[in-house]
Amino acid sequence: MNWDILILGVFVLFTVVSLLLKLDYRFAIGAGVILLAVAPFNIVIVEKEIIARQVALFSYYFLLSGVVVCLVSYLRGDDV
Amino acid sequence: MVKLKKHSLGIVFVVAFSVFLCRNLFLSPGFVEGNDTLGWIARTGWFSNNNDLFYIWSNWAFGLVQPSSLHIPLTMLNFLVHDPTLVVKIFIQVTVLFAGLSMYFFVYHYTKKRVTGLIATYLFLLSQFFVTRLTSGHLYHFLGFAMAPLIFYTFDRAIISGKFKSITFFSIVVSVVIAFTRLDLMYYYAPFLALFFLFSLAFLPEGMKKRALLGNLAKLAVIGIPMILLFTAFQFFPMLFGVRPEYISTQLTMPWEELKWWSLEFYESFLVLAREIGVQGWKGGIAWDKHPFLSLWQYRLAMSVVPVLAFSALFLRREKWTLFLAISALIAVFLAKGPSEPFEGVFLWLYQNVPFFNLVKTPNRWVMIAVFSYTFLAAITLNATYIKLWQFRESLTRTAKGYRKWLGRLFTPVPLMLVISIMVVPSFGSWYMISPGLGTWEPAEQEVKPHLWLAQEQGDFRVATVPYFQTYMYNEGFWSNSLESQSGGLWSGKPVVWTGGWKIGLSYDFTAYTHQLVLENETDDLMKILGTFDVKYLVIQGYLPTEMESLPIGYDENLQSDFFKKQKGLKEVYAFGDAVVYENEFWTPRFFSPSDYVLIVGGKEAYTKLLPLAGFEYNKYAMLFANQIIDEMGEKQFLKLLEKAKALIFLNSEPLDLAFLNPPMDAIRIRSSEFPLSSNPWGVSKYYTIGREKWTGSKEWIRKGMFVLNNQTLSTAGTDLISKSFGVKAEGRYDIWVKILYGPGVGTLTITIDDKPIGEITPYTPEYSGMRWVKIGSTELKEGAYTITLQNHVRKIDSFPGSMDIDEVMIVKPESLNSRMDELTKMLSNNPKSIMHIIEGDEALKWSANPKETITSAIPKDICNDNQTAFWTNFNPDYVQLEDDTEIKIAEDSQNSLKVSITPGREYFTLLDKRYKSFQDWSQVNYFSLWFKGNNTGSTFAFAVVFNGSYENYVRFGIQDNSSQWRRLIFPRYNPDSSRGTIDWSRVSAVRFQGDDKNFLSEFHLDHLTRLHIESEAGSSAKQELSYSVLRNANYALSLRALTGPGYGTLDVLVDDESQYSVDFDRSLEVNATVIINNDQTGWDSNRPVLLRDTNVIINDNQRAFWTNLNSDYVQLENDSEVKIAEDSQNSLKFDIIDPDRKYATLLEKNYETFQDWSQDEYFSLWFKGNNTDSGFAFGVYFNDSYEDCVRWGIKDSSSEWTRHVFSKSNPDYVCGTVDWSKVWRVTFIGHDKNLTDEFHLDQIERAQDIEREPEWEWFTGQSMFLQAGDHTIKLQSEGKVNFDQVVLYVLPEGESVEYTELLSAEGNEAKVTSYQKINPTKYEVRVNTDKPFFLMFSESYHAMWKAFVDGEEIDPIPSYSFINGFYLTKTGEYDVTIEFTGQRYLYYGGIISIASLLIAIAFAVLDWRGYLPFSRRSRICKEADSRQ
Repeated sequence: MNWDILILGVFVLFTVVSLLLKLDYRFAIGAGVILLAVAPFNIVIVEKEIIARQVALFSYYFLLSGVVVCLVSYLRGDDV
Repeated sequence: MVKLKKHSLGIVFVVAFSVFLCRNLFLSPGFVEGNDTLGWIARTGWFSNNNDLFYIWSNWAFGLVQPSSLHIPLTMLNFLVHDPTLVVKIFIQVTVLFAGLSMYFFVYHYTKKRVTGLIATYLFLLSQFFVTRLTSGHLYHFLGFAMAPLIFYTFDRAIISGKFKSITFFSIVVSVVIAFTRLDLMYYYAPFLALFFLFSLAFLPEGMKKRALLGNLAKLAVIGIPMILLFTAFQFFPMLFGVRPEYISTQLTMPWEELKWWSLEFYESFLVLAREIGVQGWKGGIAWDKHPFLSLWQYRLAMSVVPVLAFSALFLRREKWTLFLAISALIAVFLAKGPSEPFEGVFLWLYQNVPFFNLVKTPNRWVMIAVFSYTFLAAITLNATYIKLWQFRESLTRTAKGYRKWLGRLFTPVPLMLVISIMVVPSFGSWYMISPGLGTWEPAEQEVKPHLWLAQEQGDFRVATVPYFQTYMYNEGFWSNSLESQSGGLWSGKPVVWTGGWKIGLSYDFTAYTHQLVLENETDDLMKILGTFDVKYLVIQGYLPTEMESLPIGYDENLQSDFFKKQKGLKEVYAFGDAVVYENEFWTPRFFSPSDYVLIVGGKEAYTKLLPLAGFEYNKYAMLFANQIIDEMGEKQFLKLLEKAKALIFLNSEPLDLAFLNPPMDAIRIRSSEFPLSSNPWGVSKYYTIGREKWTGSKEWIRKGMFVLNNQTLSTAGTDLISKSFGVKAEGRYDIWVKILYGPGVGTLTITIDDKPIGEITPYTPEYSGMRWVKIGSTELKEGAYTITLQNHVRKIDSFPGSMDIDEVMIVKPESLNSRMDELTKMLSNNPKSIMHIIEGDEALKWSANPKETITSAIPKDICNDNQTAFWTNFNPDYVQLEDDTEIKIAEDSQNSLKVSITPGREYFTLLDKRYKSFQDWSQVNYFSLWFKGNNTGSTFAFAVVFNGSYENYVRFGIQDNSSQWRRLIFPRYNPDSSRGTIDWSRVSAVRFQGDDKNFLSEFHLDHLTRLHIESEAGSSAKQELSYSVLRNANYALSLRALTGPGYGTLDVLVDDESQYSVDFDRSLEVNATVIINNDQTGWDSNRPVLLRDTNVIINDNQRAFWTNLNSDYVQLENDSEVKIAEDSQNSLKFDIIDPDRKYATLLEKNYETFQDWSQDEYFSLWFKGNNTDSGFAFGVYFNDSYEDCVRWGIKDSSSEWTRHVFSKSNPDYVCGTVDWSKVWRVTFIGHDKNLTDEFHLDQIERAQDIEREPEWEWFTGQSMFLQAGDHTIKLQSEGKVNFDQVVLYVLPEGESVEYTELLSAEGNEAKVTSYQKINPTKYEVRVNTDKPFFLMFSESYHAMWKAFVDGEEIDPIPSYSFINGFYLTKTGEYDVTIEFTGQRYLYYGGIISIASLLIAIAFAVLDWRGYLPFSRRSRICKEADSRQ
């Protein structure tokens, strides 16, 4: 299976579960922000830029998921 | 005022920042640094000087449509300032202020926090994207991006309030972006404005209902959009009627490699790094992947700060703007990465399917939305962080006691320091550019002076400049618009031939073709070609080309200036320093009238291929290209033109090409550009960006002048497939034809339709032989939709490139094609008078090749493998160390490689040299293979092959040291990166390995140099059979142009197996011929008509010491370093006979101390420069220590040019006594007239064992023969060495016998352009006088809206010479013609609409504001007040 689609699928699932279970969107945003902040360290720690790129991609998906959950929760009037 | 006072900190910051950034600009009169900035200055100057600001056609270069843009406000400002450089500086300063202030007030407006506004402004102004707009000189993007806050603010106001004035305000802002930045810029904003509206629906303002918001949107759509269209009517109106630059087209798409090139990877896009920062890499090492003082991870970390802060804002606020900006940033990042992973297909899908998406040609520019969003959001977070920290400090100081209270006080500066520290980090991405401030520069005097001199020259003319075809110059650490492109006109006010920034269009193709002629050293008639199109002066700027496109890697840096200096027709008229201005004696004014015209089924190579025809001159015979005429005007017009044409010329093409130019109605024509993502609008060269692993658009063959029907070919050098759907309307059996390039190193093409195999072809010929239509196969097709798939296979032969180039695919019923051919035969039965089929030597191969033939094997032959130190000669032994390395080698069974260690300061570019003792015949070699292991230094090396024992004859293949791994480099013999002199693969005399810089330090390895012979079934047989067809039943003659010289063989030509004639090309050499050499020193190489073999120099330099002066009282001898035969020669001997009546006839003598044995030599060569005195001189040789034994050869002073005299031992003019060539003791130079006084020169005397006459081209014509329309065979059977470049089959006029060279003999020019006057860039008045219909040529880029008006009658232009306008005028006598660009009228109409609508809108807004309108707010309030009363 295509790796990109697999990762996207996992994040779509994560978003759907977050929406169903009404998880706080800030978990996803927090994960995204932290991953984005730590991504550069992979270049120096594991000495592989590709890992940094992958971490940045995960960060992007977390942020996207967080923003979507935030928006939907706002629209359905969830308290945060 | 009070309101502004509270924002003083923000305002002061913005002002201070703009002053800091622009501080250098106003302290120096120089130009502003930045790639495109000089272009803006030049345009501002140009439009101001020529007062043609409001004309849509500009006379730049060869002329082009110039839509409104930033140059309009800049030029208007220049009317006040009168200094275009200052105007651009003011613009930059003001725009920085505007950007900062608008961002500050925008953020303040929505957050009500001044600190947030200040931080956002700081991050916005320091963003890499903003700063690189300036360093790249993209001023319209600079303005467009600066307007981002205003666009979103006015849109928000318009949809929330729905008021007329808000809508008007928004419309004006958008109109400014569209009209004065760049049209496509609004496309970046439009989807996000739509998204913003959706968010506004979701987050309705308090008290507002959805219906009201939708109503406001409807108002905006109904009022705002028409208003924008009306305001920008002067922009849109002409475009609507087809007056637009060629780059504004939805038809153009970019190949995915190009899209990728103009985007960054996902991670870099996420961190909003700017693609244009790449050019800064040249200045000091900042790019998206390197930083001057940060390591990569530190750089990434610094650039992560802003996005981390931005997304952290979601913890703080969950409202409309925060969510909208966060999601906008995420979308923009995804778009900005273009076709990079992940999901690269999404971008490509959008690119292909969303209307107008393909207008966006630089994906990275989508990051501007992310930058805008990040700065807003990050400012919110930072401000909130500061507040939280401050609150924490407050809580400590307010409630705590004792040490905690002190701790709280100590904590006071922490919040501010922390926030400032955080803010400093992201500035590392741009501070490196901001800290020195925007720079200025001034060109060297010698670069400007020639253009100032040209400014004094009266008249209407164009200028060409060298470096040729250069857009940017590398200048003191940065790139700038090249002085010799559009910027030259800044000083001279004259149009300059240049690439045109967009690299598209007919005149670009023409210029690119002429540039290719330069690179390939193809002609010495370039000034004749350029002169036809109003190019009167050539400026050699005095500096070397710096841009890869102008001079690709591997080419000699002096190639361009050397090339131009040897061009015919140039006369030096001005010089300053190294810069020289030449006048072109072939200059033809902008309007001219050829006496006749020819229609050509062929490519731009006609420019050089028709010149050998006696009497053919560009300005006497208009060249009309059949494919352009039929595409632009239809076949009817073509046939009409055919009636009066002097000839229809098939140049390396055949009647089938003509048939397919207007294919049968039921044929399905698929052009190369119709395949998805295959378009290549930039015409990017192979030296630049485009890899060829996938199918992509290519301009390579168009540049080379080949007959290509479309503006590109569909090309690849990889195993790849590409598909295109098509529809069939009529059921039947269809043939599938492909116009395909024949050449060496090709792949195999297979074609399938809906997965059904149709056929395959390997279009192999030993040399490139052009494009030809080939039938691949047939299939039954029913009505419906199908998909055709082209698959290229790279062959498994050792490193075979496997390229494939396709022009068009035609799916046609055989019966339709047959009837089309019959129709053509009928149409061409009488007109034109002459039909000529010109087939060039190499191009003939495609008609003899069997489409099914395959390449059988590649046979490697070693040039050098082990023990390379013995093979190579070290050219710089003090600086280069050679070592056979047994450790590092390409294979275990290899004994060693060659390790080369080089240190700076070398004397020679050549590092290694191998000179063969005898000539090597490598004429069957197709490729060279060399293993190279570099050190990834970025240095450039080259492998060179030398011919004929002269280092002036070579080909060179470039090598980039961009890896530290072993790489096998394959060099195709037929496609070197550069070449010079006479290339003769049967006489290879040396191979060399060179470095392009004498000062770099490096270590590299070489191994296993081989040559690969590719053997094919076709081979290079001495018998060639061409299958060729003709269209007319008539008498034909067949002529051919071939090389003749000593040792050349014979050729039998048979048409349809009937012997036509036999030609003998052998020409013996007549010695004692006096050989005149062009006095021009650069002519030394190219014009040498004889070749000496195995030479020994008798004397070359310092002849003063060699000769004894026998009449020292009468003759003065001097080594002359000024007058000499070649630049690399040190001096000649000047002998000045000052007094008459000298004692001895012998002027010079040389007595050898011992006998010289010259018995092996057969010839002597001597260079003499006389004074055309008609006096007699002689060169004498004496034997046996006796004055009585001698031979002499006479020399007559009949020229004042350098003359080479070649003497044969067997044929002296005078002999005395006993001749013994093994006992030569004396040589003399004699002047027979003892009373002669004058000044003469001698140079280089040589002995030679053998001599060859340089081959010469000659025409041969056979008997006439009758040929029926249809297919024929032409057999060419050669014996010995035969080299022909053109075969011409031509129709003979009834009852006449015409020599080929007489066919186009020029007749008197009956039409004359008496005078012309330029009214403005879009209008000319021309006075003509003619006694027959004629073509009035107007050498301005072809555009269908250029019209000629004669007595009110409108005459359409005909594309002529491939790119200019020709008007066929039938009226005779003396009369006036008005030439007008009618597209200008649409600009007038649009302008009137724009001005009127803007005035009306302002009036409405004022009336609304004053309450005079029934729907205005004040009016409503008054009415309510009235009603209350």
